[in-house]
Amino acid sequence: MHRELVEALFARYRTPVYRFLHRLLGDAAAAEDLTQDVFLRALGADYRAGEHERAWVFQIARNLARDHARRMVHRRPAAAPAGEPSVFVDRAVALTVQAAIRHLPEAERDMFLMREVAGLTYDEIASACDVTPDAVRNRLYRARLALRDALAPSAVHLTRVRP
Amino acid sequence: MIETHIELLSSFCDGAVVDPDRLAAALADPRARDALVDFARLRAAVASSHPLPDSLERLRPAAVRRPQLRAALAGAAAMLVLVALTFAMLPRGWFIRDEADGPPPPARVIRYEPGVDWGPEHR
Repeated sequence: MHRELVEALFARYRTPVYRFLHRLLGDAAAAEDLTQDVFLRALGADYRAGEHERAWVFQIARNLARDHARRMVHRRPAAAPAGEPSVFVDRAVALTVQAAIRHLPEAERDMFLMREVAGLTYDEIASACDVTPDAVRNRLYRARLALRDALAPSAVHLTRVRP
Repeated sequence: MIETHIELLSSFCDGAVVDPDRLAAALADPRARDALVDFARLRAAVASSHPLPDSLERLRPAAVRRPQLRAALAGAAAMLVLVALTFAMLPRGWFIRDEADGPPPPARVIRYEPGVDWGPEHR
C-alpha cells in the first residue's frame, strides 16, 4: 500500500485505534507504539479493494494486540487496567468496568471494545474478527450481560458523577 | 432472531434496525429498561475523551522491520557458529607446531676455526 494512502488511513483512524488498543491492553505506552505499528504494517500489506477499510485496520490492530499480549505473558504480569476519568461515571467505576472487561472471553472483549470504544458496525466487526454479523450481535449481547453480572456482586453501582 | 427484550435493546444500542412495536414492548418491561440504562452506563465507562499523545501526531517513518532485522541477526550468529566449528574441526597442527615436527637436537657440534678449517685458500 502506498505511503500516501496509509497516511490518510492514519489520519482517519489513529484515534479510534489508539483508544481501542489502550482499553484492550490497559497500557498507554504500548497502545501508542502499537498504533504506529498498525499503520506501518498496513504500509507493507496488500489491501483488497472492496474490503471494509476500517474493519481491515482493526483486524491488524487486533492481531498486533494479541501478539503483544502473548509476548507480555512471558515477560511480566499484565499491566494494571487503565481507568480514565469519564464524564458520566467516576474513576472507581471505570476501573471496575475495565477489570471486568479484561475477564471477558477474548473474542467478546475485542468485539465489545470495537463496538463501544471505536464504534464499528456489526458488519465491520464481523469482517475484522472473521465471524458472521449475527455472531457479533450475540457476543455483544453476552458481553453486556457478563459485564452487568460482574459489576453487580461488588455492589458497584454505575452512578452518574455529581458535578 | 432476537429472543428477549434485553437482547433487543442490546441490538438497538448497536444501531440495529428493530421492530418499533417490539421496542415499545421492551421499554415497557422494567427489567429491560434497567438493562438499557446499564448498557448506556457501560458505554460511558469505556468512553474516552483523552487527547491523543503527541507521538501520534504523525506516522513515523518505516524503519527496518523487526522480522528482517531478526533474520539478519540470526544469519550473522549462524555464520559465527559455522566459523567457530570450522576452526574447531581443523587439525591442531595447522595452528600449533608440535615438538615432534621440529628439528632434532644436535648430535655433534662442528666448529670451523679461521685459518684452520677455512681461509682464503679454501675458497
